[in-house]
Amino acid sequence: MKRFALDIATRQFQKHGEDIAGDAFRVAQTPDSTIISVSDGLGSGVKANVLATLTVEVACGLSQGDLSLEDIVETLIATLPVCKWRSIAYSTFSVVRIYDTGRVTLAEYDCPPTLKLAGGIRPEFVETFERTVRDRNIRVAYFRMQPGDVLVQYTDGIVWAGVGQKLPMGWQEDGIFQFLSATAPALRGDCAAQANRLAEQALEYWEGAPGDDGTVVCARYRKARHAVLLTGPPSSPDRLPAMLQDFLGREGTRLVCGGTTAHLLARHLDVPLEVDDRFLDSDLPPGGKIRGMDLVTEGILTLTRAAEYLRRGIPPGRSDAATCLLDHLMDADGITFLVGTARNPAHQNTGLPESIFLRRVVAEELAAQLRERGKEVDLVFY
Amino acid sequence: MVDVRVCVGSSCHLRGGAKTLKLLHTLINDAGVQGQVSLRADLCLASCLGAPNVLVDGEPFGGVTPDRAEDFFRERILPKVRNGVGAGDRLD
Repeated sequence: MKRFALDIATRQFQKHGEDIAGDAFRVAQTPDSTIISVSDGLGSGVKANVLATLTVEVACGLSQGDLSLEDIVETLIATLPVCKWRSIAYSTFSVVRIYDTGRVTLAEYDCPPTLKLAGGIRPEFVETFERTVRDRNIRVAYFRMQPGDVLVQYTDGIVWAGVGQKLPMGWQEDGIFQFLSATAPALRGDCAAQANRLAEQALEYWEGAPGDDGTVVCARYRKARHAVLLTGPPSSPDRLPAMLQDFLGREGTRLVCGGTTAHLLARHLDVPLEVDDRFLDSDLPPGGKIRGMDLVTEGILTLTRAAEYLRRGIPPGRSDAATCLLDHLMDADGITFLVGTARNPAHQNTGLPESIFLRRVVAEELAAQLRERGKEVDLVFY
Repeated sequence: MVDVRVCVGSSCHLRGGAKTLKLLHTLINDAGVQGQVSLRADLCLASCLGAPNVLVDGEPFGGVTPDRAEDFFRERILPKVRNGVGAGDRLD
């Protein structure tokens, strides 16, 4: 399980009169790092968008291989078309790779300098040094992020916000720095709020009619949140102590899904198991309460419903044991399912397909849905 | 006090355990014996094959479907209330 995670938020606007932005950004994951690429295509509109999209797609695509950031940048420089009239590349870009350990490598080509909010609060420009790659100057940085630090990347439309209108010289990097100094402490590292505040301020300087496309990307490095979900008795009673020890020995939000499972755990801990009367009126069986556990629900039906909610969406206003379970699961970055594979002979002739009572199948379906949403999920069968 | 526990685990729920629980709650109130019966839900009484299950003073009963709830109340719960004997009550 990854020990650290990134929250990434972005906000974008296009030049006044254009249908799409000429900026693009992409995020890619590798087993030990996250790559964020931001690009500003020359000009605006569709042509700029195509060039910027090409740039970030190549950057993120190459990052899936074993290439270093420098290799990626060199490939980008070599492949980027150059405008014959202006003798400059058709797009500018930044590529940042943030490793799970907090180590960061950054490469910038003709784009505004990346800022770091130390502790999510105090802005500092990332110190870079110049390198020449295929006769082009790029800025490179190698540094570490601590949990709580936020990286802020932005394009020209933010730097030049209000130019010739409200601000004769535009917002400028120093103006952005001052703005972050003033606003970041109250936002407490909330990436989405920070990206919104920056973009909203830029739009205000542009008086609602931006003279350039603008993109803000904020990425917060933080400790990963884990959850461990115990469901079902093991295939053989001999394996119960090992399964419960495994569950109790793991770090994270503790979720128990199953009536028998809850009884077995409560007995093991020698604490009472009470019925949770919050959802007695729902069409799902109610859950329970065990001291020290974050949530106790019924098993098969609640897990099946949770997967269904992920597949089809939660009906508006719905609140039951499955939505409660999803609140916990969606809040976690990494989830370990400890799945007991004992079969309950009573789960026959219920009028429902027998496969839904195979706990393994139900857990795998839910795990697949969670993985699609970027969660790291491990399944351990007992 | 007569102790009644109704299972609402997966199997019992699918076979109407939650409805049985609600019906018993209504029947107990209608009979005015709520002060003499402790009614609780349970997450699993570990007898899923006989679902829906009800435990009356520790004695297990299976197949207490909602349509049988009223008979069950009259035959198994009310007599105990009338006799005034329940779990935890001293007989001597």
